[in-house]
Amino acid sequence: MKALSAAREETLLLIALWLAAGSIIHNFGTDSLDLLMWSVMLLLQSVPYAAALIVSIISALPKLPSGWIGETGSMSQAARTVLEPPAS
Amino acid sequence: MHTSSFLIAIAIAALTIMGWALYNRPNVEPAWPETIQGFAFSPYRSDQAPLWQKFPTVEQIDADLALLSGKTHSVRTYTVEDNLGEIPRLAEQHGINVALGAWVGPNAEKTKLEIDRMLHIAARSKNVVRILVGNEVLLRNDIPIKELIAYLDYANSKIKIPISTAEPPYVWKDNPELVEHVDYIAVHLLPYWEGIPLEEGSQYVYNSINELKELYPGKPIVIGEVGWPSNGRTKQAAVASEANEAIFLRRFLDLAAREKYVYYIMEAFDQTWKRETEGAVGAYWGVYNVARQPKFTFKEPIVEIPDWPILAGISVGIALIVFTLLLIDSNRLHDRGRSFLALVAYVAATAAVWIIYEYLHQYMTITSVIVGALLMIGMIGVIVVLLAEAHEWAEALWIRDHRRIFKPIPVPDEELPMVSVHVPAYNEPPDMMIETLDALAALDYPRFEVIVIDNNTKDPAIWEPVRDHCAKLGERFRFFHEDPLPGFKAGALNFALKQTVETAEVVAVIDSDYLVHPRWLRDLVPQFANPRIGIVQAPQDYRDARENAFKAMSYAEYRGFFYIGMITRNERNATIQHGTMTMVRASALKDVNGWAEWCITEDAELGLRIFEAGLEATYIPKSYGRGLMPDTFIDFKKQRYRWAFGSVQILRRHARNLLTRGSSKLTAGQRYHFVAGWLPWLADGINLIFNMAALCWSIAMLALPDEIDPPLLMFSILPLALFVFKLGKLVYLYQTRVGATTVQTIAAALSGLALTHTIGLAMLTGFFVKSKPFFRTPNRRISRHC
Repeated sequence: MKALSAAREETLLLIALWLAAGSIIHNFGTDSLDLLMWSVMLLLQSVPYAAALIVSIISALPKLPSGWIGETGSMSQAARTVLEPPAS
Repeated sequence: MHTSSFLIAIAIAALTIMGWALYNRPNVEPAWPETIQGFAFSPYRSDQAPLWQKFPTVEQIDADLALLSGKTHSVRTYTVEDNLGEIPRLAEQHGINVALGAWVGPNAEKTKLEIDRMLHIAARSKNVVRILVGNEVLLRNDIPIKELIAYLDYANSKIKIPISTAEPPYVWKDNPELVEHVDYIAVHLLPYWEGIPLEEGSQYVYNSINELKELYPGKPIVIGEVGWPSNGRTKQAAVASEANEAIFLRRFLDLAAREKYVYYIMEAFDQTWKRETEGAVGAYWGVYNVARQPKFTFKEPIVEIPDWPILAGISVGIALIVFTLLLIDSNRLHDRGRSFLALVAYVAATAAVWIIYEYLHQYMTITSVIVGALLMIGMIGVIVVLLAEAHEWAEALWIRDHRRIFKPIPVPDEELPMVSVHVPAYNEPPDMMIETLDALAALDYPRFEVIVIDNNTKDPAIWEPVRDHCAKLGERFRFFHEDPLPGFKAGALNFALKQTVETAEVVAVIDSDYLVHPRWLRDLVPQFANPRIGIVQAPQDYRDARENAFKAMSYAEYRGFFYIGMITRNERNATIQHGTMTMVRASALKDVNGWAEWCITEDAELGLRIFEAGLEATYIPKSYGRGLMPDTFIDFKKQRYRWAFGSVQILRRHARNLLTRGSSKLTAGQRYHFVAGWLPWLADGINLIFNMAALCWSIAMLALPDEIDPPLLMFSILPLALFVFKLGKLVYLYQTRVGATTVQTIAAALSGLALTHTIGLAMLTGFFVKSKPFFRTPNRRISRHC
């Protein structure tokens, strides 16, 4: 719930785009290439909103370990030699 | 232009022209006969329609028949309403026979009148060879089959001319009783509506006729309509185009001559009013366009776009101009980078030319002109963003050597300048502040002071421990608590500037959560020995990426700008100044009147003003201090909202200097980066508008499917292209430049995409609202104290 409220607008737009794409396919079928592409486009435009929802959910789980991502950056090594991460 | 650029331009121009030529290979097809058997004939002009009871004049009908005279033996009509009842009389003068049609609709009274009028005209004409009572009545489900049969029998009892009604094949197959009441079968063969590919068009005609022949042996068959549209939506495998219409008809006419079909070509003239009932495609079935010009060649080989050499020429011309512009200041670019830019320029130019040609090739209505103008603006926007992204892509990857790379300058200890380190704080947790101050105290540098300025923190329990710790750390550390102090962070920094010792030559700023490396000042301050340097910037970096998955993702997202964008921008002295890990020449800071309190990204704004004053910045892509990231997605969003909103404030305030140079000393390269660098964010704003419009269009289309046409393919392709290109760039650059793993790249893409909406919203708001209060990015555990 907390995750949803952090990305409320994004979630609503996500649902709206999916509903639009779904209804178009449902009502008109996949007969016309233009409509098919339009639906694909609507789904693709929803990707950033889906990303917002996913990130929001991950953010709502502060216990989720960072290990599977790790520290990004070719210069992270350099950064570490310059500065030891604080023991926390 | 470089010799290699010249060769690349020519090579890709040749490829482009070859592409156009390949797509437009001539198709040798059977020639159109001198005289065909029949045309379906509706004589409405562009502003006329039976729907709003505007009929062509007798003169106009006569002119149309004169045009067809000698080219066809007969015409087929659909109604005898108004002047259309004159067609048999006028056709006779041109030696044309008529298959006379009466319109049958749900209104029984009107239908009876129409049939009687038709019978009357047929009886007194010598050239009416067949009669059609009703057109696709059962297909439209206008009336029950019994009523249609009654009309047919009624007409049959009154006149001796062969009578039928026109329907598609399946209606004839499913209704043997209908066949019993007609003298011949009038069948419509329009493979486009069945979604049949062009190649199978003739076969479809042949098979349909054969099936009917087998089902109803001995019954004469007349093809009431046969044709293919020249424009409109793609129906499954059926593509509407002028070339396809020409190929289908010329092949059909050849087949018809061999098989001795009786047929009426659908149709003589484009009927623009039909888009109201059938969608846009309805307007494009004519052999002649609405201006009565033939739409395709009747004898020569068929070419998809007959004007392609002109279009290819325009594409190459535009691409060359774009390519030349992209190559300004590109001496250090590898040939691979040049080829990449050339390719993008040519593809973009070709796509633009093609889209405009296709769009202009339609019959225009007021709506389509407005929509077209919007499409045009959107397309130019997409292409500009795409080119800017491609340019950054090329410069990040294929550069020979960096001309403004950071080079250490050795300066003896006794000559090192006095530095004043400013640490602004508002409501920051004291234990975090104490950590920060301890790291500053450990700086390996002979002469510096630290000014901690706490603005507007209400709770003494938060700021008093920091004050006490400053006192403990000695004279170097001075603490100020000011409440109220206007101007947010900029106000605090301006206050600190006033407290700075006279001898300070450099002002360094860090956020209150930054732990600096002991060598920060010693390694970077010597850069100010160069009198042209006004700013020395180190990356904004974070130390809590290992705290949880969310922070690791955010961290991946932050990296991109400091390892790609900043390095590219540094080459043209156009880095973005940040409010932390930054150093400014004190005299320059005072000369430009300090930090701007009107701007919520006062740091980037100051950097731009220092560039405008003609000073330079240097950037070292090496971490000298690390802070804390926003704890939650909401805070992450708030921070990005602030950056994006601030960028609009800057763009608006500095528009004159950025677009025309104005009174500033900005170089063209700096102006380019400051505008192009924020274009992708601007595109996010426009993307938000596009999504809203797309949703509205979709809803309108779902609610009124008969009135609102589906959007053309090109509307879907533009955002698709941009999305794919941006994602491709991110993935490629993260893997090669940032050295990210696949998971990290995905993480960066996810958190980057997740901010799209926030950035878009901020950009749009920025254009309508002048200022927004500064909201700081809360990091870590303030809640513990509140």
